[in-house]
Amino acid sequence: MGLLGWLTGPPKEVTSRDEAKKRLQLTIFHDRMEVMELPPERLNDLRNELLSVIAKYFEVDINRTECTLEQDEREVAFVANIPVKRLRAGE
Amino acid sequence: MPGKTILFTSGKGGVGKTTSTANIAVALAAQDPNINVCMIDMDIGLRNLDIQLGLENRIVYNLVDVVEGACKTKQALVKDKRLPNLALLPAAQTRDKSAVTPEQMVSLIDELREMFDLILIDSPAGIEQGFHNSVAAADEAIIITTAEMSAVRDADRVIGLLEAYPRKINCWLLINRLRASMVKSNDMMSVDDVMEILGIKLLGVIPEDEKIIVSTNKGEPLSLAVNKTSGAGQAFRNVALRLTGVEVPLMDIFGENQNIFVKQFKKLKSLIKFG
Repeated sequence: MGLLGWLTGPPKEVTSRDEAKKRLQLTIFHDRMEVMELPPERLNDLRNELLSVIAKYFEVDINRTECTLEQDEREVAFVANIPVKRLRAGE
Repeated sequence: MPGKTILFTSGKGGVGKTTSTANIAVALAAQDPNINVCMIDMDIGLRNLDIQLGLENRIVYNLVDVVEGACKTKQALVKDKRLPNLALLPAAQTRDKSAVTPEQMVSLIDELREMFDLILIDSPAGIEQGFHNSVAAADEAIIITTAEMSAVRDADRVIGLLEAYPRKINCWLLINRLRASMVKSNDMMSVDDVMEILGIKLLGVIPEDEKIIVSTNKGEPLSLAVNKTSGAGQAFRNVALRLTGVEVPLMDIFGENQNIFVKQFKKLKSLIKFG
């Protein structure tokens, strides 16, 4: 153990309780998605369709666009973060 | 006032649905002789609630006989030998879950609502027809789980199914067989962990208790007042009190004050009010 290791102490052990909780949260999240019939490829389709609509009004930064599903208690939210470069001129 | 129907369900088998139903029913009937309680064993083909209650030798007719019109509802009801205000409608042992339909359950329970204040439904494991028959007339649902991964996962699935029902069913969480020492040593998920994952209101926590096996051997539920020293028995009695609107803080199964839980129960005012 080097000096730094001596200062910070041994690495904190991940308990089986933490592991169970983490694995379960992830599994249940996927279960809920499956029940909602929204597999990852469908989520990707949604992202692309959404972007094509938004691109009519804004010039967006596609590379920095993030679309995720976030979980809060018993609700899942679709969160899209789409950086806007500039407004497109109306026709 | 017509009686209320409470469903006991879990998805996974072996987490304590039948044990919880028997113990809570006995505690409810014992705490107030004016409350008439009926239990229905919905596990057609694999009945066990009768054994837990020590009533296995008194069964003449069963649920399927009633539904098929082979006897009157009253004839199939088995009176408890200790509590006159407690009755059991046993499952048939030789048939299967398809012997009754959800519609038949609704009309049967409508009839029972006129005779009883509380109807406790012990659902079978699984999410197939037996589950749907059990949910058909439920007003409240108690989701039983242990703090184990597969039980919590199945509980989540069942909660999702109950939430999707067109009729509003209130869901309550009952965590069974909690091992305080394992939670303390971080080898078992805690009450808070399970609640965070499932996101429904907590009704109670039952500690792991070896006496449950002894009580089943004897056919005498632990929640009977004679079992003063049993942790699980007391926890079941507390759940019964909460169901009738009495505020009872969570039992101190950790040997220390768990203030977070006490606050939880302040929110839980009265689940079932009697007129």
